[in-house]
Order: sequence, then C-alpha cells, then structure tokens
Amino acid sequence: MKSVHTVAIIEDNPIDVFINTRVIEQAELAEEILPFNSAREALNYLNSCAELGSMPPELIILDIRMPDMDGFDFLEAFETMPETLKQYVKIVMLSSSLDPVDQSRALSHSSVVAFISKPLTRDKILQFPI
Amino acid sequence: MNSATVNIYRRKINLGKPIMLNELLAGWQIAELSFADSAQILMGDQKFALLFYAGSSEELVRISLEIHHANPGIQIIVIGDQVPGMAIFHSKAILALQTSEISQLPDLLNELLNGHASASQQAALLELKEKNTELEKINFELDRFVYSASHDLRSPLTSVLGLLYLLRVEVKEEGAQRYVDLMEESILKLDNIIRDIVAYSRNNRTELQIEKIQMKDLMADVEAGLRYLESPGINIHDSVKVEHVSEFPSDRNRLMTVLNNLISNSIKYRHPARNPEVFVSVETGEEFVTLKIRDNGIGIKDYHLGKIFDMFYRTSDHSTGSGLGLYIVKETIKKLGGSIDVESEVNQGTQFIIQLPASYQENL
Repeated sequence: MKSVHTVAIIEDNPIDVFINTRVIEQAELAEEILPFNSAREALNYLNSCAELGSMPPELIILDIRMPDMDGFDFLEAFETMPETLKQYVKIVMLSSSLDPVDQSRALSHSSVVAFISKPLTRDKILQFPI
Repeated sequence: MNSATVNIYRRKINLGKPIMLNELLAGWQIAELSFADSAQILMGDQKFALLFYAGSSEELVRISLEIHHANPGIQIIVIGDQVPGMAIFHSKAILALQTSEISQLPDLLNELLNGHASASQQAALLELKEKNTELEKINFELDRFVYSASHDLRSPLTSVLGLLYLLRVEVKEEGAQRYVDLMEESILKLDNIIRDIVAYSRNNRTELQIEKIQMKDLMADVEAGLRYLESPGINIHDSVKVEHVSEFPSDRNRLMTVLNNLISNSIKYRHPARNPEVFVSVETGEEFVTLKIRDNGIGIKDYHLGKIFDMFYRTSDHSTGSGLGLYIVKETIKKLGGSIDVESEVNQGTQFIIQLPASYQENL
C-alpha cells in the first residue's frame, strides 16, 4: 500500500463512515478524507472535478447497498466520465454482502481494484492493490 | 383434474342398417379389443373398449367406443381413457356418420386422436414451461431475498465488529480487551449462523458449477475464511496439513462450504491438552475422489455419531454453533452426488471420509 492524497468514502450508514474514517486515519492511508453519504453526492463532486479540472480523489471506497443510487448505479455512471478521470481514480468496493454475484459484478468494472468485506481494518487497507 | 375438451363432430345422417364390426374396424391397427368376435354384427347400441395404434405413431391409445344406431346412420361416441404412459386423450368426441362413410372412420378417429394428443401434449408442454418460468422466477426472488435479508442482518453486525476493532486498537486497558474479545466472539457466532443459512439456501437452489479444483488454492481460501478462529497459540495454517494432489473436478463454492465446516469443527472441538491438527488428504480414483479430513480433537461419542448430520442436532450444550453445520455438509455432498462417513474415537480424534464423483457430465 502506498498512501494517497485524497480518499473518498461513499457510504450511507454514518457509523460505517465513522469506522472507515477512523481506520483510514490510523493506517495513514490518505492526507484527506472526503465522506459522501450518497452516491449521487459523490457523483456530483466528481463531475465538478472534471469540469473545473481539479484533482479528484485517487481512491474511492464504495458501499454497494445504498438508497436511491446504489454502488452499481454509481459504477455505471462512473463509466461515462472522462477517460483521464477514470484512469486516475481507483475504486475499492466495501460491503457486507455474501452474494458472489455482487463480487463478480463489481470486479467486472475495470475501475474496481478490490472487493473487501466489512468491516474495514488496517490489514485490509494494507492489502489494497494501489 | 384436467378439464376435458369435448370435440363434437356431427354429420347429417340418413340411413339405418346393421353394421359389421370388422367393417367398422377395417384398416385399424388394433392391439386389443374387448369384443371376442370381430365379425360381430353391431345391432342396437354397443359399447366396447379398444387399444389401437394411433396413426403412424408407435403410441398406443385406448379408447371406448359407444355405437348408437340413429335413424338414419350411426352415432359413435369416442371416449379416451387416461392411461399413464399412453397418448393423452381424455376427452369425448361424438362422430355422426352415414353408413357409406364408415370406411373413413379410422382416418377420422386417427385425425381426431392425433390432433387431440398433440394439442394436449402441446398444452401440457406449455403449462410445464410456464411452471418452470414461474419456478425460476420464485427461485430468483428467493435468492435475492436471502442475500438481501442476510445483508441487512449482517450490516449492523459488521458495524459492531468495526467498532470493536477500533476499541481494541484505541483502548489499551487489559480488562477492556477481554470484554472486546467476548463481544467479538458473540457477534462472529451470530454472523456464522447467518452464513450457514445463506450456504444452506444457496446449496438448495443453485445448480452445480463444476470446475477444476486446485487443492492448494482452495485450501488457501478455506484457511483465510477460518482465520477468525485463531487465538493465541492457535494458528490455522500451522494446524491444517494438506496432502497435495492433482486437480479434480468439483463445485468450488460447495467444496469450500464442506471443508470450512469440517475444519472449523476440528478447531472448535480441539483437545484441550494438545495443539489442534487437521490432516486433509485427497485421492483421485477412476470413479471417485476420496477426501479424508482427520483431526486430533476431542472425538464424538458413539451414540452421537448417527445423529450428527441431522438438522439442528447438537451434541451438548457446549456446542457453539447453530446445529446446521454438519447438516449443511451432508446436504451439500448430496448435491455433489457424493457420500460422507464418519469415524471417531473419544479423546483421540475424528475422521470424515467423503466420496465424490470423479467426473461430472456438465461444463467440462
């Protein structure tokens, strides 16, 4: 694992946002942590990054089951973003799903580098392929 | 009960004279006739059953004919009998013929029976297809339900596990650590019950997915999944010894379920006086692949041995699981087309012997 400048957390459950933030801080994975409690909010942020030419987060930790737009909806929307942004941003899926279909579906997206089961721990962060 | 379609064929009829049975049955491929004498003259109303080959098909059809002499001509009521394994004709048809048309009767009947048989076969096929689609839909929905419900049940558990993880890292008090350990143990136990239920439901509803199994890769995943059982002095990788073998075909997920359950039992029910050891060996033969999982644990008493594969059976109040583990193992092996046996000696250890087919028809 190398540390990154900015990591975004897309997670609707505030307790999990808290846990992920804390574990990322302790593992010193990133200098800046951006929590989004919905996929739509994160997508708007990425769009504004693309428009303004500002740096998007290098890493996104993405939950799957969320109301309104879920993790897969996010991935599909992400696919339509500019190529330069897509190549810069890596995505780690973090879920408590036991569904093998979720895993294979997530990993079929080229931007998704790992599928991790909750809870996030330091050991799991150390194994991020980034 | 199937609703019977009644086809009614009526013709104008204009004469009434006695009919010879053999005239009526000329050209029929009769297999069996309830009349003794086929030269009989049919006078008045007659009823008889006959078994004949419908059209050019090899299929035997049994029908009853009721011949009613009308004035003029005859009326024939054809009643199909439902005979398992024979052409489906369970309706009633009425043929009204002129005597001059009697020679056409076999053709008419054949047409009627064949047409009906194929129509009802088609209807049956269609019904089967619809049922199948419906079942697939139910299966799919049930699958979604199980995963969705298990996800919703597990979400708060994983949150608590995450918080306990942080608590362990951030709070260094000796006493607190113990509480954290116990809470974590309880949560993991609950999580394992949910996993058991998902594995059970999955085994029941999904088709086999046969691929070539590399024991080394498989065991690495099994060990990773059992790491939660580790405690000071207990190291899964050191405890589990695998005799390496060539690859063999099986369903990876199901085999993992089986090995996960058996090996986690070996670790959970280890002998207090020694380090747990589990030996996994695989022999690939012509017909069977034989897996042996042997441990040096506390063993199972004779009178429990016959029941350990039963649903919800637990050998004692000290059993920590849901009572589903070995039941799932048995069901999973059944789905794989194999068998499982157990040998055990109290205080010495237990050995499970699994035989699986050495080859599968599909997907290879």
